[in-house]
Amino acid sequence: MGAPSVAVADDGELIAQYRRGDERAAAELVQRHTAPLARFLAIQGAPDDELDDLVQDAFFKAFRGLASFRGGSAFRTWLLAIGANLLKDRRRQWKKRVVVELTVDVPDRSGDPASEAEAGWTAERLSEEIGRLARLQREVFLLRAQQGLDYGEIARGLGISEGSARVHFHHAVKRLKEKIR
Amino acid sequence: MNALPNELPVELERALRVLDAEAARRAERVDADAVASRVLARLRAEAEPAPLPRLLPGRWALPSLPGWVRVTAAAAMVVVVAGSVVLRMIRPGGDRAVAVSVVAVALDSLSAKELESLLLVTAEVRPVATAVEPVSGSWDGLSESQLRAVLQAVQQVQGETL
Repeated sequence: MGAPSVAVADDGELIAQYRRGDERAAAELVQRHTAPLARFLAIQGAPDDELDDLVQDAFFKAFRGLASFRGGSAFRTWLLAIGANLLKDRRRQWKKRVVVELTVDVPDRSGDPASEAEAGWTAERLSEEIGRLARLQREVFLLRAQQGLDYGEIARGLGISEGSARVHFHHAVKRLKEKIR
Repeated sequence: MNALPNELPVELERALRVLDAEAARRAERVDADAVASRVLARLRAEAEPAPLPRLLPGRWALPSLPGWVRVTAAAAMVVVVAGSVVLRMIRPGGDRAVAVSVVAVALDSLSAKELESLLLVTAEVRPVATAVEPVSGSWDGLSESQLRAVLQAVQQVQGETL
């Protein structure tokens, strides 16, 4: 006989518990979604010393605005969209600052220094080009390619149609492919 | 990285994988426990009702008035009480005397505006009170206005009696 299975509350249940005043539910939501949110912000060039604050602000804004969360998209998608908005606002403040440069550490799988250097160069170039994409293209691309969300979920999270999400993704891929060639 | 296979060109997928690995490494430095406690602290702080500005420093609005107003109010109360007594003497059972007594009793709970109204009432009462004063003193010491007030009071009483 195996160990008794522990029921894991989904995000919707945790949100309901938090709304009833259970702070542990909010803490659990933070535990679940901090890493994906931080990763989503980091790949878009959020500086190291701002990443923590951005994550915190995104959660704070999300919990404070739970009344407006209709559940049309997943909590994570909604949270990522909030994070992307915050990042956009902060970028204006960072204009005069040096934008973080991702120093890409490429794992040495091939043992070929030339290949390693090339991969690093391409990744850095990709980072720059992702930053140059139009906002919706960038967000759709990363939600799809980095976070692995389906188009329907992306569309609901960003408030666009599924067809539009596909088009944005297509254009983003086309542009990035050209730029890193 | 969660990108679906065959959706990205190989070169792009490879570069994105490298980039995402770096982003994940940086994301690991964010302490989820610390984020949770700070977010909850901010939410708690926001939920606490903001302290209301103290408009009334004490029990009443009266102490916030300037000192001269308070002195005037005290003087007005004396005049009103004296006036009510005099009115009772002149016109026992008169409605006006009773009404003035009620005002005097409730004086300590008056607002500035009510106090102002009271001072207006006092202005009406004062001539009567002054007019009666000579009953216990000498008529010679009265001014012209005091004598006129006495005459008015007597005429008023006579008019109401007739």
